[in-house]
Amino acid sequence: MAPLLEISNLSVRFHSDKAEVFAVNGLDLSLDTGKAIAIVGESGSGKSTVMMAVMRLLQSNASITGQVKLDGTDVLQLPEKAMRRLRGKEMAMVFQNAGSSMNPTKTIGDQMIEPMLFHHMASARDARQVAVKLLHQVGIPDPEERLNNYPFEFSGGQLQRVMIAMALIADPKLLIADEPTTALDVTVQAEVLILLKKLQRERGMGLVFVTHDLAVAAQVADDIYVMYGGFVMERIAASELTTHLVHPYLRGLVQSIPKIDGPRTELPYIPGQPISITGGLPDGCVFASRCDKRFVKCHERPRHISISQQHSVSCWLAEGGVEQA
Amino acid sequence: MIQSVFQPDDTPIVKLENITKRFRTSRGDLLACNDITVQVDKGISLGVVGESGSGKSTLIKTLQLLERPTKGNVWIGGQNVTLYSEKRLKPFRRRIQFVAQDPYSSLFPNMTIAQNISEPLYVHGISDKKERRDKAAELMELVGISLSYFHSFPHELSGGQQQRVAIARALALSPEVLVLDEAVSSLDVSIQAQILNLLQRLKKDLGLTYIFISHNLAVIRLMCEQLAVMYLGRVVEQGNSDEVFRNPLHPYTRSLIAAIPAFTNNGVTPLPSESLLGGNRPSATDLPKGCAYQTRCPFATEICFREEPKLEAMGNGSLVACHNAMSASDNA
Repeated sequence: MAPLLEISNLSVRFHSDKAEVFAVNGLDLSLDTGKAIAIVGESGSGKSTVMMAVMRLLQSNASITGQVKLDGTDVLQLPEKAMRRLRGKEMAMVFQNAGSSMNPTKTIGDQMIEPMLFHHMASARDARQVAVKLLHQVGIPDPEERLNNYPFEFSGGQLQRVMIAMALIADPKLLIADEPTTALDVTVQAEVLILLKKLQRERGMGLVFVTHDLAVAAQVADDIYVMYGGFVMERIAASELTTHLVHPYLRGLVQSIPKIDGPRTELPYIPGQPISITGGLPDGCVFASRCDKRFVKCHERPRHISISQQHSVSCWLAEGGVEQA
Repeated sequence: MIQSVFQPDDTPIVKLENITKRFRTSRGDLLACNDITVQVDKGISLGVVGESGSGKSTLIKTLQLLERPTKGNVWIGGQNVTLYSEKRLKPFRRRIQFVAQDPYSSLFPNMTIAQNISEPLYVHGISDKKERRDKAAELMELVGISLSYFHSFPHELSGGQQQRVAIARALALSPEVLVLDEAVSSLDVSIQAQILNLLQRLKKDLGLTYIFISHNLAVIRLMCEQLAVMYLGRVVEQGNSDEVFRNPLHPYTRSLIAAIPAFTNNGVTPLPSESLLGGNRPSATDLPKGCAYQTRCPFATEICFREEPKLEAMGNGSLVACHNAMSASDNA
């Protein structure tokens, strides 16, 4: 079966007066129907840009090359009109800050019903019923009444649930969630994650989860893509994250996170600052300047080396077999 | 270092005694802190966890006397300072310093790094211009900022470096206690580790005591010997942090620990299978009679709706405010 979402060789550059920003550099990614992947990276790694490119929501100063196939259609080639039919219907997105993604002057009900009318999916009355049902599904009590409330009348966690309900309204095949729980309390975060995971399973949706939190990624996703400097450093099954990781960057990242049952000693950390992707990229590996394992070959940009079907690494160390350290 | 001339060493540095803080709001009184007693001893750092709205921030504001409590007493170094005037408080303020979550907005954008760091010395009028400059340089070295940034402005630094500056500034008055409010939460993981290492080193080298607020339990465990868990204005569990993690007794502590995604020695904690935190949280302006956690507690019995549980010592040394702490722990 062809994957639901297949990104090949995606590059995104932003042009500004001062310099060019190399946000995403030749990214490959695939997601099967009913699966969940996570894109993990620190700030500036390009993780959000990838998904904004998929939704074609980037500003006009971005130049995008490569292919983004959703169900076999290259969305990058579609005219804007066709794209509007796709957005919200075939693929939908949930953002970090639910409050600022909604219209404060319209009731939740109006905002939920609008896309159904836009996509000619239901009459106004039926649309209301669908909205009530969805709000109920995402765990909003008294949905009928709550439809008449404005966004400010909801708590942060509830608003995030409402936004998830909105994203699901057209029954999309692909749901993109960009840091949907970062602004929430930990307990509320757990509830929202459980909800997202449950909906994804029940509806057989593909889910792309963008986050900076490796632990959250491992909880939610089947596969994890770890990004750095606009490149995918490693693609690894979530279940193998702590046991089979190969890339020195990912290793450094995992080691630098304090463990809940770890020793009270200093943490190993990655020296230096994250690479600046403004102006240009180094010739070789983008991580080389911070890497303690670098060797001569790192002057050359590493290719993606496949270790198993679900596991690949952009690091010359992986060439000629992987030693587990 | 500034010597403390205030008290013999075994009095707690800070003690909050039956603190209650009530805010007037248009929707009625909001009980932000309800009869809280906490003490911080030298060398025993305290971690405070809880959801937003649980009263963590009010607690640390009261502790620094940035808010005066409605009821109860604040003791600093064995003196009851609750009703002291600002002027009389000033020498006490030096002993407790604060590091905020967002380093950039907590630094003065119009002052250089050195000016930012030495500002507290200026405010407290304890040194001349040259001494302040020297102290700033010394502190920059201490927290690992290159002296080439001496005349730079905050916006020229990265987030991690800005947080180092904020820490250096908090250390300028040689405090005994640092209050850190989510001080590493806005940093990327690789930078977060560097700041945590710095804080660990400073704790050891300068004999600092921390009061650490974080939603990241692993960070709390790393930095703090003591842990207090707050829920809707009350401390519901308090004890040795290792013990609370190993053996949480309050149902809320349990679900909090289960809810938090974390790395362990055996990989990542799994997503809880179903919502552990069912039920709605009551509004802080309209708390139910009895235990505040009754609306979400799977173990709630009749007494929980009637009587408010008091903090009581359990067999493992933790203090827990739960009528059913023992039976709840058996069932889990």
